[in-house]
Amino acid sequence: MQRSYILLLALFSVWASLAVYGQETFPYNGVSDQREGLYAFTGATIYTSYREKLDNATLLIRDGKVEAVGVDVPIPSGAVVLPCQGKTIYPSFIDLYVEYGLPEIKPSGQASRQTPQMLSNKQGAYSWNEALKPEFHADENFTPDEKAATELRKLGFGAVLTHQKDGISRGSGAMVWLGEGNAHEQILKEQASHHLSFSKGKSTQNYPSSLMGSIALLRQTYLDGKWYAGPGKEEEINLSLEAWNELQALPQVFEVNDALDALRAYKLGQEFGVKYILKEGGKAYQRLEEIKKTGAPIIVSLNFPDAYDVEDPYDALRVDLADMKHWELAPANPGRLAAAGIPIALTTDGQKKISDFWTSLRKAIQYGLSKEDALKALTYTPASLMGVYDEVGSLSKGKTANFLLVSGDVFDEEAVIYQNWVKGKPHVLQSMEVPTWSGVYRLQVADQEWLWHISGNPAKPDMKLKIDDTTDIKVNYKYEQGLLTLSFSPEKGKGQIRLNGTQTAGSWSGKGQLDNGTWVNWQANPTRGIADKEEKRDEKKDAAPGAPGEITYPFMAYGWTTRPPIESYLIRNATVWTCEEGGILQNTDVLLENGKIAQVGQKLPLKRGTIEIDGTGKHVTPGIIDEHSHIAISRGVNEGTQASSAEVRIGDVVNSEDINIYRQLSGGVTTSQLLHGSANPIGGQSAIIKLRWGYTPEEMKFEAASPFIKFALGENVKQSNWGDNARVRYPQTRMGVEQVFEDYFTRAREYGAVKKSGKPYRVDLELEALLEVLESKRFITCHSYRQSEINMLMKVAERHGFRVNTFTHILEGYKVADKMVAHGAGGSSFSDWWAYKFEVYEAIPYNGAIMHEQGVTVAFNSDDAEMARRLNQEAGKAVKYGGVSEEEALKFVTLNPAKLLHIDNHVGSIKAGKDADVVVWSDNPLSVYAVAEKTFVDGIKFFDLEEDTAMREAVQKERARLIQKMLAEKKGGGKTQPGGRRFQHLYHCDDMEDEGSF
Amino acid sequence: MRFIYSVIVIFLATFYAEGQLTIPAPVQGEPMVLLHATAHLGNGKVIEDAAVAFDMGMITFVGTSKEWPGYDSYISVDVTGKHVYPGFIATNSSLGLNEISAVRATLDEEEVGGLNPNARALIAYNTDSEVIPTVRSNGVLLAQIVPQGGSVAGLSSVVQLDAWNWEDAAYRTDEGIHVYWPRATRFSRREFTMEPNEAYAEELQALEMLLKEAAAYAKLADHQPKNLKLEAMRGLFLGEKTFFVHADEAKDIQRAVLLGEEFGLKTVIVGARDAWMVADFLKEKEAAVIFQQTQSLPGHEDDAVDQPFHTPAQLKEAGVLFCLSGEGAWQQRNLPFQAGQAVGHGLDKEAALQAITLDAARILGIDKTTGSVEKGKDATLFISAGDALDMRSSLVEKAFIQGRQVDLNDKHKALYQKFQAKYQRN
Repeated sequence: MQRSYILLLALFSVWASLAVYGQETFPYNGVSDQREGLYAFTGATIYTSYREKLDNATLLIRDGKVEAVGVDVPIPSGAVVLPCQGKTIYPSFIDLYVEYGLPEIKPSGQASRQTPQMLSNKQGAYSWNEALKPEFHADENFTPDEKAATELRKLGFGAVLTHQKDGISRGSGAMVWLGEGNAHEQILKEQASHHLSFSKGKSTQNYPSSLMGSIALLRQTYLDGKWYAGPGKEEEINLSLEAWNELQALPQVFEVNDALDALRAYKLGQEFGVKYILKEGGKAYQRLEEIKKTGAPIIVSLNFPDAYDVEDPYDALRVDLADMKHWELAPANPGRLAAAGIPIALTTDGQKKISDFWTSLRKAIQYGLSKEDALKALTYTPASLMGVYDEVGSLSKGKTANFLLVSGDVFDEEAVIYQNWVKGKPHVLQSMEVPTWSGVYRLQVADQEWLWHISGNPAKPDMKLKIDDTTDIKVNYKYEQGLLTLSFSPEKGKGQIRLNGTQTAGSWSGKGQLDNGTWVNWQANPTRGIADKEEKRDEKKDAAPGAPGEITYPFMAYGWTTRPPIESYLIRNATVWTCEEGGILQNTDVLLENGKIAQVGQKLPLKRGTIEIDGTGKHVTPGIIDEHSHIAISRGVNEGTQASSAEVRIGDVVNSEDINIYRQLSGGVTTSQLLHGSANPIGGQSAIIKLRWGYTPEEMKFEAASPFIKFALGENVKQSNWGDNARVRYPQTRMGVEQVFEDYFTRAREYGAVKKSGKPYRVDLELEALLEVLESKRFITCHSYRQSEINMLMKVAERHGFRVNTFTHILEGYKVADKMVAHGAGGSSFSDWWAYKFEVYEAIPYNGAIMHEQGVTVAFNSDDAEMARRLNQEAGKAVKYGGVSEEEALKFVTLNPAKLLHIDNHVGSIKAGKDADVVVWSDNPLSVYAVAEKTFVDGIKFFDLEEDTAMREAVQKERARLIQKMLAEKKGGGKTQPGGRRFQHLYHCDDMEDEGSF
Repeated sequence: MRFIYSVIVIFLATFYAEGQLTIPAPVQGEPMVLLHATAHLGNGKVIEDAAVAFDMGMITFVGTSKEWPGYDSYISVDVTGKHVYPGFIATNSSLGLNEISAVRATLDEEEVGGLNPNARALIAYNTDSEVIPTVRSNGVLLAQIVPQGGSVAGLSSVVQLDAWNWEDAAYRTDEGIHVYWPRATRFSRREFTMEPNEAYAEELQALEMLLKEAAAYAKLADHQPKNLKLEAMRGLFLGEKTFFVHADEAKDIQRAVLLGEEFGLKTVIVGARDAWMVADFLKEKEAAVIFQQTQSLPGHEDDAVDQPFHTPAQLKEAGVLFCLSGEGAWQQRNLPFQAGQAVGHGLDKEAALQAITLDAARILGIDKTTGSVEKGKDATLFISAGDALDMRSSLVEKAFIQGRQVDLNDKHKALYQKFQAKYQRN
């Protein structure tokens, strides 16, 4: 019986390889060989779906379709009956994230090394941006790739969604079968999905160079699509927009890097009523609650990092706690997502070697992914997401015969997938014919004798000859259609003995050749009584992993596990710098309640439940406000590829997982304006955040803040210090800078007129932002140094009827302070920076004092992650240089920046009713000796020096635990990687780098 | 009478110089005594109601005002309520080598080629740099001028900051060789991570080999053929020059010290971000440290948030000889605050001062003549209205370099006055 089955399959593959059957439109060569393909698989355990299992059931397929499945299925005559006792049948798996059978990705043209590429190199009536390729359709470019198909089939996949993983809009994906044969018969669904990402991939065009640029480009493209569907097509033919619009009806698959990117994509989709299926890089568990709230299904990678090599205690310092924790928790990601009720689909994407998929999957199961969820994530969910569940993903009448024949439970360590049937055609991965052979045999070859041990999974056992307790000889073998071949070297360095034979009644015999070429007979009879002692399974592998560390928010050192609560605090008997009319009050109490400053006074009553803080000898100030910061921003602060990037928004890329948030809390900072850089005259829109450590990016945003935009002047925008190649992008002189503003505001004004007229128009996010400026609904913070251009911008603004809100840096503000006052512009400066470029050669530390004296609202800012945490000292320099009073100097970093940011009715001073953003200092806050002991934001204590000390110990303890665990992993033979350190980019204004492409 | 006269002279001198180019001061004329100040000696000691006297550029008396014999020849200056400090010493600076960082033509701090032991920072030191007077204005009166970058950057010198030319600026010429230690990791632009430096071992070997060759070369008084690079290193092995190694990571610091020990060199670790981790080792090996930039971020995400603020206290506790430094050129005016920063984090105030005065002088090998307010040393000192380590109170009113009263005007004060004039007219 067995033999005939094998023979049949062998013949089948010959038949199939002729490959011209069944294709109606094709001519054929030779004699037609159409077959019915009627097979009955009997006596099997069958998973008809991820949750229904039938025992001793029959699967009947005909012509590539399931005809019946069940326990009492009658077998029609003419069916080939394949007995499957002891075997399990599963619907075959589906991978939604492969690039299969598609041409290699190439950039559209040659990128110039010398000059920036402002437009797409692609020929034809396509998008201006090379990273937008909605017109690429996987089905049109698909050719089955047998080598890749074989690899995927080995893992149990029978159908995949293939698309080209390149660009921001990547075009459509096609659902295809993993069978052999022409593209014609392997396509399941031509246009199944639209694929998107934040990464511009192979595009050589400069724009976008930052993550916020990618997001802005997508946002504009959604609007352009709508415009094109209406009046736009009258104006131009744009094949990309045409394709874009067509793809909108399909499932939208968005590839993201990590949890924050997932939330960013979700938010973008919400703006346009689009629900994405997210493809995530394995870190979603770090923000599980928020991810769950998006309701998005997730395609999950099983890319679990290797342990770090931490044997050297100093080298181990290169591995941050965040990376150690991720190593420990990454395998739990799929399980945690599934347990949270998030629909997940599993993918091979992200495996270093695709053949590691099962190792990773079993690890995920070991770390908590249930087998049912795993099966669901490989069958039902991916099929449903692509709308092909009526074809694949389960086994029921009428569905395609895509299934696996497995030795037992497919998720078991020992499981063997024997056959992978695609569209009713078998692919034999491993012979099902498994002899009953485990045990110990006495192997006799000519006059020699060994003990031959066969152990482990009978489908792929370990074989060795045991010489003594410590010495083994490895035996290579092959078993095919009843014939066994063995080869081994009886002594090291000697030649090999090769044997061939068959099994009869439990014994083996046959002929073979010794290393000298002599033909000999051999036999092997089972022994009795020789216990197979040492064949224990590797128990460690099966043991459940020890309890992992807790998730912290953010996911790094100094993150919290429990959200710090709002509480009532009464700070007693302190020196209180109110930054209000009352000035500096001695022996004063400050009461914080419900996130607000409730009362300021002397000997306030202590209410029940209020925490009393002894402020004797301490100073209390409003939280410090940094008008110019670049912390907490993901992947690029500059979209400096064009003279204007008014459409980009820092608010899209706020990064809550930045240690500098915590470091700055330790310096008393509570609010920061996160600014676009200064690479172009019109930069991007800024985000004003409160330093709510551990909160999500959206939760960190200052609710009541006005919208701002960054402008810039001088050497950066004219690219003076970028090397000799940066001589193309307009402007290159201060003359050109003025004209950029004049031009953009003129266009924005015209745009506004069209908008107002009621005529149809293309919504242009860049001009929308500038129109808001013209209408005084959005405010400018302008990077500036030299007096000539400061004056110029004020004149441009006056001509266009608005006011420049703030000049930031403004190191020559002291020369035009009178003009600034007349115009109504504030100044947010460095205390004492100078001489780092030519335009700051006349910068002086008295700048703040002079502007202040002349009536300008003056702030000191950082533009620097390090300096930001001692802005109090920078304010102290206003006392030193120019003799500003201490009371006024502190306002440079509290009330004045609050005024400049239009948030002074909420923060910036200590006054009943304002937000409880308050710092307790050890000393006079303007002194270099002062240390921030407690920092409150909204009445929540986000930094406490004592708790910080405890946390340092906790960080060390957690590191020590993880280091021991990684050492154990290495000792146990696990792979390790060197301790490379994640690089944290500390952005300044003129940084053009993105954090790598992903 | 003398007292009143002196006050008028000093007042006039200050006023007159405003808005002018600063002119190097003439040698000390009459002897002078500063009375009733709080004197911070730089060696850890403080004298209240002090008398500090100097003549011919040298300190002749340090004690209390009561102890002061009241020599008639000395001009008395009453500085009640004010503070006297030894001049601050900027170590590892690029003063005079870097005028405007973004303008290449004004930069002379890094020679090409990577192996430049013979490059001399002193001769590139521009005494007319506009930056120098602004630094002086905060009490920095001596500086080590250091070549940067590559593997062996060159020779540093110590200068005093009030001079016509590098020749009269020179305080200790070519006192050290600066080696930038190979880095075990380097930044990968592609991955945006720190990656292991594949060439690290090779670079270490090359450095060791260079020292071997230089040591062998130094054994012959007149080596032929003459090799300028090895010649420049000769002084290292004769105890004349210091082996300054710029290294940050704990293992590199230890390796550098061991290498110095192998050749019997006087080793100073510069930068030394992780020195706190190996403080006991440094103490045991008697290696000194120039700790760069107290006001910086921790080296690792997991480090205590105030680690660099705290490092000086840890080095002190371990007994390591160290001084504090800032980076670059214009930033040197904040040197006192680099020291002040450590005070809020466990370092004694006078110890912080010592870390930018006497201990800096020790590390630079100039402590016999300067670095503290002590009898017999140079009268390189200044008067501040308040605590000079704290920006809240630092206000340098008079400064003396070897007894010469330095013009404390600078470009910034001049511009301040210029634009005050503008607004006064309005």
